[in-house]
Amino acid sequence: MNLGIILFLIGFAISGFHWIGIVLAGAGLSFFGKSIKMKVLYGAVAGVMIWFAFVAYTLSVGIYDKVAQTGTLFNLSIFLSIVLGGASGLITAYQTDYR
Amino acid sequence: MKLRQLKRGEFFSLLSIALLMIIVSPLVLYLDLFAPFGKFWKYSEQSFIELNTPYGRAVIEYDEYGTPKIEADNLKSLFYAAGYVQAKDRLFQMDLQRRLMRGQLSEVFGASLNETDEFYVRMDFVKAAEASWEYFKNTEFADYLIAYSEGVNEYIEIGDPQPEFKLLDYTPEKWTPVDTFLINKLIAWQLTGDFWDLERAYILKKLPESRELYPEYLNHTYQIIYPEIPNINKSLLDWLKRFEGDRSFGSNNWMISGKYTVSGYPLLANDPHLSLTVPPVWYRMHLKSGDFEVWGVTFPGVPVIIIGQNKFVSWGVTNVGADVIDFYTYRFDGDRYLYKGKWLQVEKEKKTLKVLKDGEIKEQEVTVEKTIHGPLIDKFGMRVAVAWTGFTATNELKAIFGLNKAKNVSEAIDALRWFNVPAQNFVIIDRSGNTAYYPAGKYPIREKDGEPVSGNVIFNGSNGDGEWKGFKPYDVSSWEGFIPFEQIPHLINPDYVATANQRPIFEFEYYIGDSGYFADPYRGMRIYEMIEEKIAEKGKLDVDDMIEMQKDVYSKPAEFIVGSIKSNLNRIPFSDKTKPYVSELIKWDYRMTSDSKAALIFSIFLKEYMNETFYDEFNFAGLEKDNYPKLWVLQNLPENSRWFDDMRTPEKETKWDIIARAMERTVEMIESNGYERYGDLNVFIATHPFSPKILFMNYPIFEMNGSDYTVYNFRYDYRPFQAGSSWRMITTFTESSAKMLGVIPGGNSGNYFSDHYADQLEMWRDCRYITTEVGY
Repeated sequence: MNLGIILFLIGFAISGFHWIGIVLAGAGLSFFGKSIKMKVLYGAVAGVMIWFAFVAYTLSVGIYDKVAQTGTLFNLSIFLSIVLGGASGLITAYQTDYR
Repeated sequence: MKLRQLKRGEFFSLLSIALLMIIVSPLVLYLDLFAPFGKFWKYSEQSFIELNTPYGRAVIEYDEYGTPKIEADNLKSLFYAAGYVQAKDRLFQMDLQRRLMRGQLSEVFGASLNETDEFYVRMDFVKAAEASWEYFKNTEFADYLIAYSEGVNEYIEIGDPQPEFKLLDYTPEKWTPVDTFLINKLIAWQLTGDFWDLERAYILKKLPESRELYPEYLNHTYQIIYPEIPNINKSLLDWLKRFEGDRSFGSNNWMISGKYTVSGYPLLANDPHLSLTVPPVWYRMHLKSGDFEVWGVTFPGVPVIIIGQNKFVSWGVTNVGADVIDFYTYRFDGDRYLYKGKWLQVEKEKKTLKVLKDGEIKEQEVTVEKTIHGPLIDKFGMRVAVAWTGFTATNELKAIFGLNKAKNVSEAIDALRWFNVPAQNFVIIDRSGNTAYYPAGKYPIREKDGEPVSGNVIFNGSNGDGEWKGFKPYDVSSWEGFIPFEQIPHLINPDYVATANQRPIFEFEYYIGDSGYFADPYRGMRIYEMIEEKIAEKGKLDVDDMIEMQKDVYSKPAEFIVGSIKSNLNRIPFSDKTKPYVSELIKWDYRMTSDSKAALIFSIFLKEYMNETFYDEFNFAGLEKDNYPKLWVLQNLPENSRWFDDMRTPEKETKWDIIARAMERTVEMIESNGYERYGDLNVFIATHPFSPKILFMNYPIFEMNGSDYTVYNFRYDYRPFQAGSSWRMITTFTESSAKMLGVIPGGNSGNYFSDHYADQLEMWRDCRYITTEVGY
C-alpha cells in the first residue's frame, strides 16, 4: 500500500485520542498533491475528514446537539482541523522541485 | 564546507515543520481540548457502575432521569459510592462552593473576587467547619463521612473531569470531611446570615419615625401555630449586602393527616425556594443497604438525604427565618477591647489569600480578627463582632443521619434534637398515620441586666449585653443560653399544618426574630385557605389536590390591594390613560399566569406603589429601595397615613392619590418597554457560573407563571440569582408502599454533555413529577 495511505490511516486512527493524528493524516494525504498548493489542499481535506469522523462520533454518542450549541468552540474544532491538516500538508513539500 | 542548496520543496517542508512547531506550541492547550476528539468533547453516559470500594461492593444504577440508585453491601460502601456519584455528577459545583467558603475563588477566577474571598476568610468558616468535624468525629456516623470523602476522591483520581475543570485547566484538591461541613455552613449562612440588625439600626438612625414600619410582629393571623446606635454607615451595609443570605428566600411545606385524606394515610408537600442555579442546588439520589433505604434530595457535598422519605417516615423543611445572628460593639483601645471591666486583646491570625493576577498566582495577607463573641468586621470606620450560631461546632449532619434512619415520627423528632442551624420548620409524617410540626434549631436567648431582650439591636459587647450563655465560637458550645428543645413551640399529630416562612407563633416568651426576619404571610394564608376550602368542599384530599396546590398562582396581595382599589374606585383619581389598565385589573381573577396582562400590570404596580409611597421620605433620609418595609405593612397602612403624603408637594396626598400616581408610572413602564403580557417580564433565566463569558452552559429561557408571593413560587429579578421552588416534592404512604413525587429545576447531572443536564426543566415548570415508589 502507498506510504501516503498508510500514514493517513495511522494518523486518522491516532486522531481519535490525540491531535497529532491530524498532522500525520494531513502529511499522509498530501503525498498525492503535486504542487505546494495541492499538498496544502490534501492536508486540509484530511483534517476535514477527521472532523467529519468526529461529528459522526458525537452523533453516535448522542451529544451532537450539545456540541453544536457550544458555537465558537465547535467552530474552533473545524478551524483547527483545517489549519493543522493544511499546514501538515507542507511536510511533504520536499517532493516538489521548482529549482 | 559547502552546503547543498535546498530545493524549493525541501525548503517548504522544513519551513512548514518549523511553522507547525511555532504555531502549535502556544495552541497545545486549545488543540488538546478542542481539536476533533479533544478532551473537552469526551463524554459517555453511564447508566450502570459497579464499584469495588475498600469496604465492599456497591452497585449504582441510574434511572431515566439520571437519579442514581445505590445498593451496597454495607453503609460504608454505600456512602463511599454516594461520594463517587456526587463527584461524577456535581464535582465542579461542590468545588466552587468549597472555594467560596474557604476564600479561594480568586485563585481560579481572578482578582475580581478578591473582596469576596477576604470576607469569607475573615469570617473563618473553615475553623467553624473544623470544630464541627472534631465534634462529629465522636459520633457513630463519622466513618460514613470518611467513606463518603474517599468516594469523592476516587472519582477525582480516576474519573473524567467535568468540562468546567477542563476549561479552567485545574484539578480539584482532595475532598475532606471538613469540606462537607463547609457546605453545611454555606447553606446555613445563606438562610440565616442576615445583617438585618445592622440595617434596621441604620434605617432608624436615618429615619427614626419609620419604627412603625418595622414592627416586632406583622399583625396577621396566619402564624404557623395558630431595640444608642453606633457608627453604621451606608458603605458598610452596601459591602455586607454582597455576602449575606438572600432575605427573600422562602419555602412552602404542608401536611394533611389521614383524617382528611382519601387513602387514610397522611400527605406531605414541600418546595424550598432557593436560588435557581445551573446546575440546581439539589441532587436527587436513592440509597439502599440492608434495612437502610432512603430517597430524596441532598446538597452535593453532603452524603445523606436532607429532604425525603424512607419506608417509614417522610419529612420536608422550610426556613424558620429566626434571628440567630447578633452584633456587638466595644470600647476599643488600639487592639484591646473592654469586656466586663477587663481589657482583652483582639485575637489575630494571619491567613494567605491566593489571587490569580496577570496569569500568575500572587499571595495576599489577610488578618482574621476575633473577639470573645466572634469574628470582627472592621470596615468603613465600624468595628463590630458577629455571633452566629453556625460559628460553633454544630450537629445538623447527625440529625439528618438520624432522620434518614427514623422509623416513626417520634424517632424523627428525637433526631431533630441535634439540629442546630439553620433553624428549620420540619413537617413530618409516618406510615402509621402520625404527623408533626417541629421548628428545630438553636434559638439564642438574649439578656440585658438579667432581663430577656430582643436580638434586633446592636449590643454593647463591652457590657456583655445580649450575649448567648454557653456559646463558644469555633469550639464546642454548651447551648445553655438557648431555648430548650422541648420548649420550642411545636405540634404533635395536628390534622394539618402549613409553613411558608411566616412567624411560627405570636404569643411566646422568647424573642425569635422581629418582622424583618419573617416572611409576609401571603403564601401561608393561601395554603391554609386552600386546605380549608378543599376540606369543606370534598372532605378528603388526595395527591392530585397537593399537585393542584403546588401549581397555585393565586396572588393574595392582588386580592387585598386590587380588592381595595375596586371598593374605592370612585375615590381614586385615575387618569384617562390609565383607566383601561385599571379595568384589566378589576376584571382579573388574581392569577399570576404568563399570558395575563393584568398580572403584568399588578406586578409592576406593586413596585411602583411601594416606591411612590416611601421614596420621598426614604430618599430624603439617604435610604434606598432595599430598605422599604414589607408589603404587608404597606397594605395595612391607614389611608391617611403620613407615609402616603408626598413631602415634596404642598398638597396632602392620601393612599388613593398614591395609587393613581403608581398606576401612571406602571403604564409608562409597560408602554415604554412594549410589554403585553406577564410572560414578557416573568422570564426564567438560569445562568451557569461561567456566564456571560460562556453562554452555552446556561439553561433555556422561557416564560413563567407565579410570583414571589404565590405558592407556585418564582422571582424573576436577580439577587444575584432568580429564586423559586428549588425542589417540589409530594410524599405519602399506601398499604404496600412509600411514594414520592419530585422534580428539580434543571437536571441531576452538572455535566453539560449529559442527557440529564436539563431534562427535568420543563417538567418542573409544568408541575410534572418523577415518581419513586418503594414497596415494604
